[in-house]
Amino acid sequence: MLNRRQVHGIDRPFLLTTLILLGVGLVALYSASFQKAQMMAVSFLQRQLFYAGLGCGLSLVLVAIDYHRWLEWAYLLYAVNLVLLVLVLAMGTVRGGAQRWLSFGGMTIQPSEFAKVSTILALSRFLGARPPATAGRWGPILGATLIVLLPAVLILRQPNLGTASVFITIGLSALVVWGIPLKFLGILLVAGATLAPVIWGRLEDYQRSRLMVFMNPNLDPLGAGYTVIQSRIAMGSGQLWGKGWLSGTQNQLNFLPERHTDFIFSVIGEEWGILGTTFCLFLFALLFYRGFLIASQTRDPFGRLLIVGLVTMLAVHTLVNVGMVLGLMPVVGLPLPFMSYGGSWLMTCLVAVGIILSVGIRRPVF
Amino acid sequence: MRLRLIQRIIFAGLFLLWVALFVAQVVQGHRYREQSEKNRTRLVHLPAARGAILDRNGVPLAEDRISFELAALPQELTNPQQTWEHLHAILGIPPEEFARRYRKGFQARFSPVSLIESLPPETAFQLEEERAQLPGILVRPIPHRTYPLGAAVGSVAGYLGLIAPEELTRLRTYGYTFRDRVGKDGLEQVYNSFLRGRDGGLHVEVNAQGRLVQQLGYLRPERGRRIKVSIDSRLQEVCHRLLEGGQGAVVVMEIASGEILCLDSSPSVDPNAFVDPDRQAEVRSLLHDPDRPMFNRVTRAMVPPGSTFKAAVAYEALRSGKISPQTTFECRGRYELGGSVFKCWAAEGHSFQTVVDALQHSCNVFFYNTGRRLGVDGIAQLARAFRLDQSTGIDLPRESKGLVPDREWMKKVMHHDWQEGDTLSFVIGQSALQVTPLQMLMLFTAIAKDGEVPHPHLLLGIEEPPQEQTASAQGQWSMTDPRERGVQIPLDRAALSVVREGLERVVSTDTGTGRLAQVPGIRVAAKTGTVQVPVGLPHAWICGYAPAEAPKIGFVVFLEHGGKGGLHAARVAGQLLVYLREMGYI
Repeated sequence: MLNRRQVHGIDRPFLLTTLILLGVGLVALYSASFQKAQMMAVSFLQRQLFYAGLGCGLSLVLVAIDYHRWLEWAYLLYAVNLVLLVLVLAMGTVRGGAQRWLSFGGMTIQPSEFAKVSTILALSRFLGARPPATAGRWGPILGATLIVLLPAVLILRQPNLGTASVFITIGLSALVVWGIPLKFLGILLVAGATLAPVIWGRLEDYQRSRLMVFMNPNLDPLGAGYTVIQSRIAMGSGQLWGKGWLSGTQNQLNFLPERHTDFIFSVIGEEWGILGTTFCLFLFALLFYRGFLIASQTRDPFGRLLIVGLVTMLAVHTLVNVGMVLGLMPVVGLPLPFMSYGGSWLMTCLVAVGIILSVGIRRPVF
Repeated sequence: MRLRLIQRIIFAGLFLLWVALFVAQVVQGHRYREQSEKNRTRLVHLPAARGAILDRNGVPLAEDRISFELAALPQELTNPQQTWEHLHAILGIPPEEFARRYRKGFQARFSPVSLIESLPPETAFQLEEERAQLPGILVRPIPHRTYPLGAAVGSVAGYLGLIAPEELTRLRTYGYTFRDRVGKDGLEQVYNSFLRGRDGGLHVEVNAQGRLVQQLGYLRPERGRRIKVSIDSRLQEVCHRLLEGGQGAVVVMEIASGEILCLDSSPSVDPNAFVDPDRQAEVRSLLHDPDRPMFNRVTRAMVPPGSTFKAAVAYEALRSGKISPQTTFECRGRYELGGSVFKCWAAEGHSFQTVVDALQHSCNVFFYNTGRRLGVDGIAQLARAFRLDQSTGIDLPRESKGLVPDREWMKKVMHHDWQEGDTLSFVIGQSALQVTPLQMLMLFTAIAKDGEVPHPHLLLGIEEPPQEQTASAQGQWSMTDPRERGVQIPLDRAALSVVREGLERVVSTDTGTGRLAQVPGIRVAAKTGTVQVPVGLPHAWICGYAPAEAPKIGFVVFLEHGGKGGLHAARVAGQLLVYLREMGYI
């Protein structure tokens, strides 16, 4: 268990930032969902609170236990998760045209969210054990690519383009920090670019239309472009001060679809204005900064790779989600960390926080 | 270090996002704010009822009734095809037709599209009951213009039509919009600005599904003002029936006031067709009908007056002393002038005729002689004195002015000098002289009332604006006084009395040309006329007034291709006079 030094060594700014983000998210979630909650007699807030509590508890356990133990289990967790992803494809619940959920006696989980963490664990173990200077180069690179692509392809088939691309980004980020020579990185990118048209050809129609509409939302203002246009209107109309909590007309009058999940940030933008959005971006920046600080302070290559993978995951979600809400990115369905409604994703984020803190308290103290 | 690179990329991304946020929320924020306002509020159009047109007894000639409109609300129409099929099962209209109307009328997701403008109430209630199976279909009450007398009132009421684009640019400042219906003819057109109500609106907050969340503002629609006109609807129906099947015009006026009691042009249009979208094909065919049903013959037809003009000629000849009441001319059925022969309508001739005899028999030869004494200048002058070159100023649109030819006109338009023979046809009303039935009515009114000519009109009064009336004083009317606008033509009473005697004998004697207009117990004065036309039967006229001793009403019956000698026209006039007597007008 933890000793006194370790408890004091916990990264307080990182922890505090996480809790504030969680709090802001719950406040926004209430505004976004209380009407729907009344209608459906389900409290989204209570459910989110439950998962937040569960996630925090899990996170505590993760902090308390040395993360190397998890790295030992990494391949097993990774393998179990791959099996779950295959199960999703075989017998998952279909919602909104995509097969993403697994039901376990009344609970539904999204294995693709947890797969992010297990893949990062497996990737860290794999690359951490093979320093670039010593091992042969192509071996680790191809191995890492395979580790990332396996779940990515399974998820792409759900289909879930956004999450699949998160895996690619995590893999690239980890490889860069691991020390991939730039030449090899270039080869990987070229190979990816060559594959892109093939992937485009295999995309579902709705995904293509989303990408097309992202280029020009007015192509289809009532269909696929509707969400983007309404979200932009919500964001922009918040102006400087916002319309006030519970007073966003776009939000309260139901012009924003998916506003408690993927579009929670436009609720913040509408009701709290640029003050609220700047505050949130600032918190995220602080979170990532502290994460990278811990990564740079640890000497353990496993720990560093873990943090880079997890921060990259959180950052990609943040950038893509806010960009999507603003209409700068395609609507690919990546939720915002700590804020978007959804148990699997919230717990994934809190688990990430737990692991990062766990690495943090075990770094050498200068 | 590699870690820094990743960190920098992420921070650069966050910074770019913040810039984008700044642009969207601060730089362009006001624009998005406006859009969000537009998003959440709607103006719901509430059409105002148009004012009714009432006849002299308060019977509606045109009024707005509540009808049930079937409309589709696009954003709640989940499965259009299924809905059309369901409606087809209830209403029998093919699904494709619904789809076509929907496509044509679609404006915006929240704006209802009218599918059927007026449903029978039972159907409306049935649809209301099945509403659960018909998502996005609504039945709403809207005012619908109705003309209870149908085609019988078409010549007077006119009809409504969508405002024309060029009219709209002119009237936009008065609050007209592209979907407004305005009067296109008749009373609907002349009194449009009074009849038209002011549309209201509902300013509401709606949610994304277009459902009402709360009401922000309300402008009550204001019903248009009612007008009361001098038409007697019973009489109007009678004269419409008398004209049915032929082409012609009938007009009856109260001589003292100038109030038009009935006015009909045949064939006429049913104004109901113009407000019924199901009858558009019918309306289009009306526009191209060779019988010209859209053309009001009472005020617009320009036709030679035929022998009815002889009444005016007789007066002028007597007044100017060109003839005396005792002057006689011998009619042998023909009149020779410079080698040409001008015939009287009776080939055997009328032998010796005084002016009274000549009017009674409509003897052409007598009037050839008289006309030569008056000369073309005299006849043209008399036609102008009886205002045959001026419109009467009746409150109906596009009235014709008539045409009085003279030497100058002949030169300018026909490019030859006036011939003496032209005078002969001029004097019996067969030449280029062209008048409207209404002008002839005014001419006979002048003869009947010693030149005291009222202003012919339909409007009796306009309701005070409904919103300015208190509940206790409903239906206050501001009445018009048309007497101010009448004119006095200076006429010689002695000459008039001779003419009037002749006109009375046209009807009262058994050899009179208008004897078929006899009505027991009433002395009727009139003059018939026949107009030769190049093709078909001649036009038939009869113009007159009754009772002869104290004239109360003036009347004109004009029948296109009605036959020779005005016999049929006289018969129609006789039937009309019977009704007038029954209704107490004479």
